[in-house]
Amino acid sequence: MVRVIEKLDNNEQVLLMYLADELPAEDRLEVRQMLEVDASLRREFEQLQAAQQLIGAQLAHLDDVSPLAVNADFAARQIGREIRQRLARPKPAPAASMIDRPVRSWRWLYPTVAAASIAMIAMVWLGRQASTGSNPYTPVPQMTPSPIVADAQQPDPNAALLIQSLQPADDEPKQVAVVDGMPQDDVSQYLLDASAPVK
Amino acid sequence: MVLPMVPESVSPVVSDEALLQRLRAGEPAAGEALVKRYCQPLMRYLQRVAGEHAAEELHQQTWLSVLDHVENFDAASNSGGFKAWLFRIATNKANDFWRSKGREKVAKEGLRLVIDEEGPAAGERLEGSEQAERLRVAIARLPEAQRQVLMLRYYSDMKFVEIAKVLGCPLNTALGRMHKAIMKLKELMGE
Repeated sequence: MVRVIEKLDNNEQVLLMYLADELPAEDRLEVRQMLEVDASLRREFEQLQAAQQLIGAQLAHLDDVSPLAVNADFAARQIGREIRQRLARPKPAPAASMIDRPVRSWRWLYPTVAAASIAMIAMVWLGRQASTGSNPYTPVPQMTPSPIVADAQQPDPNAALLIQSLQPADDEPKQVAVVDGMPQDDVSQYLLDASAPVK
Repeated sequence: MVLPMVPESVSPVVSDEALLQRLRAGEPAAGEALVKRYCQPLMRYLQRVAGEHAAEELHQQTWLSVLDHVENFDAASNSGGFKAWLFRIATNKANDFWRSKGREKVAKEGLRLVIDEEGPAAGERLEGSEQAERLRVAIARLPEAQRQVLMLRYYSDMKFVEIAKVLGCPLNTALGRMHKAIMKLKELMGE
């Protein structure tokens, strides 16, 4: 076991502990023996003792001539009043113990997270399908033809009769097509003009 | 008329721990008894380390802190007992006070501000006590760490081991500061 004297740094610290009577008996004996044989150590001890006594006396005198900032009875009454006020306050309700608290079940968390994840994946997949158009369930907008184009596709019955009359039989003389009073040598030309609106 | 002194054997002093127990049980008189017991040394300590003007406020703060934590105080685990705990709280309050006042600024101004702040009020001037005034100024001029050790030793009468724990430093350090404080005061008072 390390002795107290051996823990201290210098003679001043040893002497302070010796003056304060805080050394163990064995260490006190050793210091006393050192003081008997070492004159310089004894001189140092006496100076330290005298300085401590002087400061103690002067402090006591300073306390005597300088009043306390607060009276002890007044301070005691103040604290006593504070204590009574604290005792009179209603005590806060004790915090709920772990036993009283409702058990929080975390079991609902995992299926909810899983369902949310599946929903997000489905939304992303549907969105991508819609952008590529390969989805059979996506209605394809129907393209309705314009009225002018639709009429052009219908055959003109009048043009068909004129063509039939213009086509000569094998033994019959060629008949010249007359359209609107104008002889038509070129049937093709007439056929080309068949789509023209009838005046 | 002089009242006769009551011998201690008739009126034994109630220990700090016993008063604390009664305080915890809700007895305000026990708290008041503790305050009265330690008012003077605690106030003097705070006056010397934090100044005359701050001592009263710090004294009240110290006792309010005691009330806040009295349920948690355990004498068995606190060497030095209630007294050491009380002075540790007071020391912390004083340190907080200096921190808020701007300790470095005060040090750079050469302690003039400290001495001026700690000057006695006009109505409380020391009469015929020049040496006491010199001691007061000399104490104010000590470095804070040395002043705390010296004042704790004198006013709380705690052992150096307990003082070291209150200040949060090794025993060697506390003793070294004490020795320097004594030598410095001796030198300043001898000027």
